[in-house]
Amino acid sequence: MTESTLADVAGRYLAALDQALAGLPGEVRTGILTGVREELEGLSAADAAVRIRDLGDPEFIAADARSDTPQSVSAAPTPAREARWYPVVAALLVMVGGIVLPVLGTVAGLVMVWFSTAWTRTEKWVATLIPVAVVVLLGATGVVVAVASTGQAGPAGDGPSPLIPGPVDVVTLGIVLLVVVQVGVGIWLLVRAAKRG
Amino acid sequence: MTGVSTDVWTQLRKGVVEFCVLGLLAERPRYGWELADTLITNNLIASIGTLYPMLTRLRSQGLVSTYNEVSGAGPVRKYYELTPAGIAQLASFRAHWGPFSSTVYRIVGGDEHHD
Repeated sequence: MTESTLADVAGRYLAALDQALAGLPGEVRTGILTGVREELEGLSAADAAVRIRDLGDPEFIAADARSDTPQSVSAAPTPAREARWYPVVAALLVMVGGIVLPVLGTVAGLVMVWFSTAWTRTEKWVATLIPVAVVVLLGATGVVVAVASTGQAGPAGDGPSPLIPGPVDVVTLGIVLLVVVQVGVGIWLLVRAAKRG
Repeated sequence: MTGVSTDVWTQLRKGVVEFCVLGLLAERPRYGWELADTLITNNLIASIGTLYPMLTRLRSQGLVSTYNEVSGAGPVRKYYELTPAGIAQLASFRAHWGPFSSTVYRIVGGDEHHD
């Protein structure tokens, strides 16, 4: 029999727990998942298995959390009540919204993602910050390239070295990279939402 | 059945369990599972499904704070501890709980005619 790693054991349990907690307010779900994740971090696979047994059945934990959630909060919009198309449209906008309507399309997608209950707060932050990080990285690269191009131009008016990409090349590459990243983030959001049904 | 309904006990537990957490943290800082284990053993909560949202609430209310600490040869753990506001909240609860529980016990408890 193949031995399970901590990542396998913890991952399976957290996924089952995440699924069982669907329908609960985001902060309740995040609080429980974060707490359990922290409890399992750093344990051996065997210790994690014991701890998981002690933590209990995900369905039981979810039922307990539901019983502790005020009725008024339960009645608030929940993932169960969110229209099925909403997270799909949000993820698609994140994916290709920027192509249809540069910047605004992506921003609209991210706003929809933040209003959706299909994703945890952490997932929303990841989806929001990855493109920002890419843009910052591209900006930094653009500055470096611009400086390098200027430095390469000879006093006699020689053009920049053909070995160093020009600013236009960097912008084109950057846009392509950003599109690829956005498509990747969108697919990841779709997969995460689909796993929770 | 003539016993008190389960709902009453549930409500009673819900009313005091946050203060029990504050009381446990007043003894010493504890990590999540330590709190869960103690509270579950004492039938104050059924599972961590109640505890972690409660800890999130207590943190957002500024009554507890957290810090990370390496435990012996074990993993880095997030420990919960009382803030000054948490200490004050617990002191206020103790001031009310003592007389309250004494009153209830004087009225309904310690009936020598039973048991």
